[in-house]
Order: sequence, then C-alpha cells, then structure tokens
Amino acid sequence: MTVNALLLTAGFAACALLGLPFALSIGIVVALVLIVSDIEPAFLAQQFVAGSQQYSLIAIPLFMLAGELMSAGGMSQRLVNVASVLVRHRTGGLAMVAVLAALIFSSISGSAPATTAAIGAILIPAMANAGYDKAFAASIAVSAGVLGPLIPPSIAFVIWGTIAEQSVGRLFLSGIVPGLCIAFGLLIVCYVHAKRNGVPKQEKASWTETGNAFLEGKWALLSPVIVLGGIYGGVFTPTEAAGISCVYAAIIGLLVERRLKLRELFPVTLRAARTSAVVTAIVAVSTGYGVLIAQEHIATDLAAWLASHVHEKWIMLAGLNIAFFLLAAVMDELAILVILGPMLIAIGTKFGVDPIHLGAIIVTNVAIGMAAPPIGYCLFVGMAISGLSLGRIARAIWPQILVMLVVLFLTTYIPQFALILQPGK
Amino acid sequence: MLSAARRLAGRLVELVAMLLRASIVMAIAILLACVAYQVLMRYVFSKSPPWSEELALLMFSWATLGGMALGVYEGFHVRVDLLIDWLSADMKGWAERIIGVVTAAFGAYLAWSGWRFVDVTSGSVSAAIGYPIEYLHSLPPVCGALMFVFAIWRLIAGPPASATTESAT
Repeated sequence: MTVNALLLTAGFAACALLGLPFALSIGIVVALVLIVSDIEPAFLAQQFVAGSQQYSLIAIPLFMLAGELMSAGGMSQRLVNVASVLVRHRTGGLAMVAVLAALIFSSISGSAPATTAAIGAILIPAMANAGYDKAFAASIAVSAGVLGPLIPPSIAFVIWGTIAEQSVGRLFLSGIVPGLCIAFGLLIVCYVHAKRNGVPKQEKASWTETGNAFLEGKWALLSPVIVLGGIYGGVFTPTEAAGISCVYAAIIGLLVERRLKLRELFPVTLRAARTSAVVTAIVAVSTGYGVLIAQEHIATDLAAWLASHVHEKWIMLAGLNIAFFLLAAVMDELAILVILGPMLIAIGTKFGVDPIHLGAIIVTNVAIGMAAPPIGYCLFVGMAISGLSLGRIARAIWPQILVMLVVLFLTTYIPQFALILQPGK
Repeated sequence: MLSAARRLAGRLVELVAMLLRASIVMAIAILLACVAYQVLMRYVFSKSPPWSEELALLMFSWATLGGMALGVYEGFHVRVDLLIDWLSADMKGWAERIIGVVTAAFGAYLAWSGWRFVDVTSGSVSAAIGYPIEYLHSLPPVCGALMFVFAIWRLIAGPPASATTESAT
C-alpha cells in the first residue's frame, strides 16, 4: 500500500476517531496527500468548488427547508391528526398513528431525523400519557423516522444518485417497497407490544372528527401529491420538486393557514441551512477525496481483490451489509455513503449488481444505521425529545431493528423488491 | 486592557458570524427563487432562463462552504465522539484543543490553496451569466479563512454563547 493510499484510508479513520468532524477529516487527508505527494495545493480549492457545483445536490437544502417550513406552520400536527382518526382505536393504535404519520411525512420530507422530530415531538408525550412505556414510544418515533430516506423524496437517494450517476427519480422508486414493508413490520410490532402490555385502546373517532381532521389536513395531504405527482408526472425534476414544495409550504403557512409568521422565516431557513450544510459539506469535500481514491486505484483494487476471493454474489452482498451495519455503529451513515461510494460502485459493477438495486440496498442500510444504536441521527433526536438515555431506547428498539434487517435481507436477495416499480421493468 | 481587547475581539467574531448566517440564509432564499422562477418560466412562458441554474449553483456553493465554516464556529458538524467521551474532563479539554489547532491549520491551508486557485484562474468569466469567475473561486479561500478565525477564537474563548444547543441533525 502506498503512503497516499494509507493516508486516504487509515489516515481518514484516525482523524474521524480522534473526534474531528467528518467533513474536516476528509478535507485534511486530501490536504495531507497533496503535501506528501507535492501536488499543486490549488487542487483542494478546485475540488471544493467542483463538489459544491452539482445541481442535483441543490435538492438537499430545499427539502430540508420544506420540512422546516411545514413543521413551523403546524402541518405535522395536522398530519398526525389525520393518521390519528384513521387508526388510533385499534390495538396499539396510537403507536400505529406514529408509523402512519411518519409514512405521510416521509413523502414530503426526505430526511430521517426530520421525520422523527416532526412525529416524535407530538407523539412521544401523547403515547406516554396514553399508557405506553415511554422508551417504547421513543423507539417507535426513532424507527418510523427511517421511512424518511426510503419513501421518496429522499436526501440519501439524492446523494447516492449524484455519486453513482444514476437517475434520482428511478432511485426514489426503488425505496418505496422496502419502505412500505418496514412500515408494515412496525405496525405489527405496535400491535404485539400493545397486546402484550395491555395498553388501553383509544376511543374511535366520530365521523365529524374524522371529517374535520381531513378538512384541516387537506393542505398538508396535498403536498405529497404535488411533490410525487410532479416528479413522476414529468412536470419537474426532483430538485425542482424540492423548490416547489418549499414555495407551497410557505404560501400555505403564510397566506392560506397563516400559522407561519414572516419573522419566523429567518430562523426557519437558518435551521434548514445548518442541517443542510452538515450533509452537503461532507458531499462537497469528498469530491477531491474521490478523485484521489480513483488515482490510487483503491476502489478498483479492492473490488478486484474481493472478486478473486469471494466467488458468490450472495456472499459478497451479505458481507457488504454486515460491513455497513458495523461501520454505521461508529460512523455517520451519510459519510459512509460518500466515503465508500466509489468502492461500493466498483464492487457492484464487478459482481453485476443492478445499479438501482445496489442503491436500494445501500440506502436501506443508511436508513437502518440512522435508527440502530449506538449512534444514529434518529436515535439522537429521539433521545433529545424523550429525555431518555441511549440504553433505555436501545433496549426497546431491537424488535424494530429486527424488522428492518428482515426487510434489508429481502431487498438484498429479491431484486424485484427494489425494481418492481421501475418503469419498463 | 487585555480583557477589553478580548471583549472587542469576541464582538467582532460574533459580528462576522452573524453576517455569515445572514448571507447563508440569503443564499438559500435566492437559490429557492431561482429554482421556482425556472419552473414558472418553463411552464407559463415555455422558455427556460439561461442564468437561473448558474446563479442557483453559485448560491448553493456559498450555502455549503459558508455553512461549513459556520459549523466550525457553532460546532454543529457531525463527528464521532465515542472516544472523546471516554476521556477524563482534563484529557477531553486537551483533545478538543488539538482538534481546534488541526481545524485552524486546515482552514489556513484551504485559504492558501484557494488563494492560489483564484490567482491561476482569474480573468475568466462564468459560462451563462458571465460573472467574473473570482466570485465563485474565492468561496473556498473565504471559507478557509473563516474556519481559521473561528477555530482560533474557539481555542481562546470556547464555544460561543450564540451557538445553537439543539442538534444539527
């Protein structure tokens, strides 16, 4: 292994483990390679520019902003109300409300932690009041958050589409079946938990209440129709859909429902800018990293080495999933996606995995990593909202993680899971 | 005397951070306007403006690189803190100091790298709008310089009071 290859792999790991932010760790190893190899330093700045000039990535701040605008305008509360009148009277009903509301919210927002935050802030306290174990309530909000990146639109798919040069619209479609399966599995977990622990049922909503919930929630419910209908009706690209959903949320919040105040726009946009910068900085910085990885043939060498040692595609896919799951225990999932992207693509090509199918496997892994202990975006949001320790949520969340792993297994070995909704397949 | 100078420096850094926040929010507002205008023009007037994509990208570059610098100041970047959390309070302080020094050094390198890049490419203009390419190419050195200043200031004064305490995720 050359010094450069060592810096790019072990050097990055050392920086990240020392506690340097991921975006900086990537930038630092690129700078070190430039210094060690006596390459023109302007390369770093040039790659920063190249990395931040990718049009598809513009969808990231816009989807974040749309989610923030909708939460600030009270749309998430109204989505919860709609879900509530539909399923709250069933066994485990209030927990099912969280799953259903997360499912609807996911078709507006592309972010897992935003989904957990929107649903959890309302439903964790409500579930605890209704007799659910608070740790279970938090764990349901955390695990329902993973629907964010799987149900379109999805920030994780936007990033993967940019790295792998695949159609973001087609990638979005590949996450729907895995996402719905996870949602279904979570509903079963809710039912079993409530049955076992004798959680009291909620009162069934009257027709008037149901009508009112739908009437109040109509603008929120129309939003996924505009976003998804717009993308798949060929009206606009995913990036434009993100912009349109911001405009829609702002108009509804400011002018139609008037629950959003003008003075809130600055803090709301700043919040979206912060969460977006966390992600886009990593992606932008990694462009230079990717060039150096390619120059050192690290990705292709690794894929060739794997192909000479692992002969079965199914073993390779199993290894890939296990490696991702273990890495996600110590590292940010989106950073893994970006750092390992070139290697994952090289491996996928070598073993003949359909690139859209590979995207679905990877993003399902990303989604699981966001909820699985010990670290994950959704988990942190769940801890912050509920005030519970990691240990308590971790003990409550394992059945949900199991559900997700089953869906990951199915997505990995039954390509139709990802490909059935693809046009022309 | 020293404490007065420090207070003044603190105010200056906070002022820079506030301007940075405002500029990022503005950048996102402009990029949203560009994307929305593009869709509107295409569907209502059946023509796409040639400049909207380029302007949106310029704004996105700033939202990303400016946001990266703001992340250093407010400490909202994601990182692994498993190892650091195991250390004693004393050791943790030292680890944070080392991280601060490395961040400042990286910021300085990026500023220098960016300066050279601007120098090499100056004189050209962007493809569609024709704005001087220095506007775009000066973003990395500005980001680097800000990271340097913010990292140094955090070494001196610790995390700023204005930093958000909520998780950036």
